[in-house]
Amino acid sequence: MRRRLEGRIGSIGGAYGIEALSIAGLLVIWQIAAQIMDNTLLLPSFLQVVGGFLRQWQAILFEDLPISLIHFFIGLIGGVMVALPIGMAMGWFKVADRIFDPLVELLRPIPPLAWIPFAIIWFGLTDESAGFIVFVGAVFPIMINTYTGFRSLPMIYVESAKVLGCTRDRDLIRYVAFPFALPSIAAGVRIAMGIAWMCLVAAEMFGVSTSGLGFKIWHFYSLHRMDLVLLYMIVLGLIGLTMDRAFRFLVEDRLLRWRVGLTQ
Amino acid sequence: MALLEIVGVSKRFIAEGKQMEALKEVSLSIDEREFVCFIGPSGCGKTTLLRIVAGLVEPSSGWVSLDGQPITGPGPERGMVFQEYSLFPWRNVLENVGFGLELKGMDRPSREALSRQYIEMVGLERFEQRFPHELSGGMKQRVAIARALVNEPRAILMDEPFGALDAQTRNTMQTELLRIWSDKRKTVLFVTHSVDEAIYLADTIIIMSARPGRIKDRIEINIPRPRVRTSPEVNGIRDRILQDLRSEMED
Repeated sequence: MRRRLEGRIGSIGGAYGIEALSIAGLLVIWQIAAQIMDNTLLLPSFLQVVGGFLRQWQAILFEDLPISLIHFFIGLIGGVMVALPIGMAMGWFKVADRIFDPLVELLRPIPPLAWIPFAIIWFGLTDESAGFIVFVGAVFPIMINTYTGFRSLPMIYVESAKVLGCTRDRDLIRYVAFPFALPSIAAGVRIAMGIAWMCLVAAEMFGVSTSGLGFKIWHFYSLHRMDLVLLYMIVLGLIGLTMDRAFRFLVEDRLLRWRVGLTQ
Repeated sequence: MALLEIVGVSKRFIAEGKQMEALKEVSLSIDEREFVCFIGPSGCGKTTLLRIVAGLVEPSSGWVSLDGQPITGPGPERGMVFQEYSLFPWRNVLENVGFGLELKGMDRPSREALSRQYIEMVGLERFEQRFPHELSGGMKQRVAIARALVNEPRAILMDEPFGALDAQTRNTMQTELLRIWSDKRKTVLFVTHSVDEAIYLADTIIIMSARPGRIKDRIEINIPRPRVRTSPEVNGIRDRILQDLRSEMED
């Protein structure tokens, strides 16, 4: 039904005609509104932002973005490396669950940004410091989804693995629990990426770092260059979107093809 | 000597605070290449007995031995086919069948070659790249049979493997299973609800009674295969089993 509907719309306005029109409409309204208001501080116009991009794109691409990506991946990779083993252990061994669960439940409700003072004290104004805030944001969603994935493993798969000679915990985790939990883990990483991206900007804005996309937003705000603030906001949004789509394409569509039948 | 010895096996469960006797002193010898069907009312412990032989459940008392070796846990020398669909959904047919070989450390080319032989045996050579969700119920159980047999087990344990299939597919699968069995000559322990299925397949039918689960009767079937499901001999045996089961209900 949906497919047929899409087909009909497609035949009216090309493959993504209506979607493109919708975005173009927003840009036109924005530009007109900004021209009527005529106040760069309150609302910079679309063309001003485009102009800002033309002057600023090299700095964005070669200075700010690489720094932010370093912060992002320090936190995300650190998060995966800590969350996976703990989440797997908690999901598989009852003792590990009882050891880690109270700790996780105590630490998890602390908002990641509350760690900023300690991040600065521990790491100084370094990439690691911003990475640490990103890590705190990323680690729990991955851990919890890993745990949940392991916990929802149906007994039948464990038993059929056992009668096929897979009896050690190590093998059962590697050959059965982990592949079964992978879609859940991937979903956790995707959620973590979104949270990590938010934490990254906040951490950079609040002075954990002296560079990066988030830092630049605060920097240009202090110069009252709202056109550049808006430009960086848009860049952050587009990069977040790109990373989410790339992850979905690489991991969920390719690696987890087997899951199609389970979700439809 | 018998291949499989079940000696004085009892199993007690605690369910809702009450002790339940699922099996009481069940003893049985099963020969090499014998096809044994277990039949009985629900709660007679036939599945529990099979799971004890598989090593998935420990008996409360008594023991089971294979080739004189006591069974202490699950192992690939006793292959099992479950009633539920038990294929790993993240592995395609070829990878599912090769699972046991992979664990033994066999390299990829050898295990794929061997897996293909067994996939061919169950008639699914065109489907080796399919994932379980792309297969019908009957095909899934064929893969499960291939996956158990590729490990060259001494015995194969089947827990109502065709229970979820429609009648037509079920008949086909029974015929297929007999073909494979006469080819591979494996010992089969087969749990079923269906009297017809048991008579069509078995050398020996074990009739079990419930609460506590124990062996009530043992019937040897000497009718040559392939058996005609409606022949007078088959009908005679069916009457006897149904009478056994009916008296069980009245007890």
